[in-house]
Amino acid sequence: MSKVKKTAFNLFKGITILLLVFLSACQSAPAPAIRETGEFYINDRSHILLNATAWTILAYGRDLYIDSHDQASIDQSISGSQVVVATYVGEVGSIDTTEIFNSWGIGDNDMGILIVLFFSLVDEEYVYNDMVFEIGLRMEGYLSAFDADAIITQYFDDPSISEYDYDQRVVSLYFGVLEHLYLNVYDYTTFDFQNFIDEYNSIKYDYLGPLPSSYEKESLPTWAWILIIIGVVGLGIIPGGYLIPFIFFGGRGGRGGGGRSGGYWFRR
Amino acid sequence: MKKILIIVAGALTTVFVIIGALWIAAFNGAVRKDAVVSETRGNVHASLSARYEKVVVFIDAIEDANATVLTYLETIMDARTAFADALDNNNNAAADDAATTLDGTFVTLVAYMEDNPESYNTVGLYSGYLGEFSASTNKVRFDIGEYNAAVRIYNTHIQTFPNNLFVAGRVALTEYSLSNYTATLPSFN
Repeated sequence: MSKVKKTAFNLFKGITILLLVFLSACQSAPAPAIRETGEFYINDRSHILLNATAWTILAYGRDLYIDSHDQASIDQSISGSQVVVATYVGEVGSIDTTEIFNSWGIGDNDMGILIVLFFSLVDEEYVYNDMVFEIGLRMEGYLSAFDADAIITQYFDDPSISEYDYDQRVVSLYFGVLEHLYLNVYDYTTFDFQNFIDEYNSIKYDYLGPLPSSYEKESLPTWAWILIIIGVVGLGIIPGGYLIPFIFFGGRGGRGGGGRSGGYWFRR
Repeated sequence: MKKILIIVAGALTTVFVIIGALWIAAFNGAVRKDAVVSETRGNVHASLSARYEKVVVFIDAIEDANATVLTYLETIMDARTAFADALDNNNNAAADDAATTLDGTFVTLVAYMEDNPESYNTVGLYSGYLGEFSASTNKVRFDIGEYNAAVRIYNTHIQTFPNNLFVAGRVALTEYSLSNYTATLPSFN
């Protein structure tokens, strides 16, 4: 192949790659206020909660999803419940939780729940302010806001838990919600809440290892994009390895079941 | 001469084909968008119905109330009956009127109870009802937002050129008012 042909071929490849990159960028939906994390069930980008709290929510959230898919005992039209907890530093109303819910697609068959805890940063300390509890479209039939409010009162505002022990309060609430789902939605006969709490307490202050989101890559800086464009168009270098999937998918890995919310949420 | 006739016939055919295509696109587009409007309106009514079912539960829990509260309750129950009847008769305008009365009175009632807790006997349940009131309000607002977006798309479609030439007989739809759902609760203190 002559040098001219080779250059033209490389140029053609480069332009094709760039077009694909720009087309994929054009097709992507607008990013929600909070991106989902690799662990999906717990979104604590500000690291307000303990490592063991995050792992506990991740493990039991995943268990619920698997258990609710049991074909032998569960109506498949209500299978795939997902309960996601997120922390956010800011005011209620500064983010659209319904948009986040629908963007993450929480729950199969619209059987999702999103709990967002709002904090403020005061003297370098995170202070809890509010909670938004959002219930998926089909889940509304199994958990009303009235019942959810009672669960929050019983488990999150449990007077036996210190007001500032957010980890304990969140885990207590999480197990409280799971208890409701296992017993009232999936007709389990028992749910040993205290046993799960005891298990959590035994590892509460342990470091259980890095969360999946620890391996997430940050988005590419502008200078990197300029180098890629120069490399692709000017030199005909085609990015390989993990870079192509990174460019196309942004290193994200959502695991929602496509669940939707119809805006059924309340603030506590 | 024959060549000119062929050219003219070809040009006319092209013009007719283009006009036909535009007509079909305008008509079918309007029908499709109108169907979305109907669906989203149905969602609004479904959310309102669900909300009113919960209002009735709320009212049933009030075993003891003063005269002011009783007046509100009667208004709410009458409006709820009117709303249900209007839906049964596919009378959207009457349903919306009843919903306006019902929601307006319910908002007033909740505000009154918030300011006068001695006027009823369900203090322990108040937090839960407020949660339910808030969530069902947010849901109705969400569905109204979806409906209004569908209405805007429909209206834009039938009013923009060249669609307005082909579907001029269609009337632009009116968006829902959010007044009852965004209003600040009145104070009775």
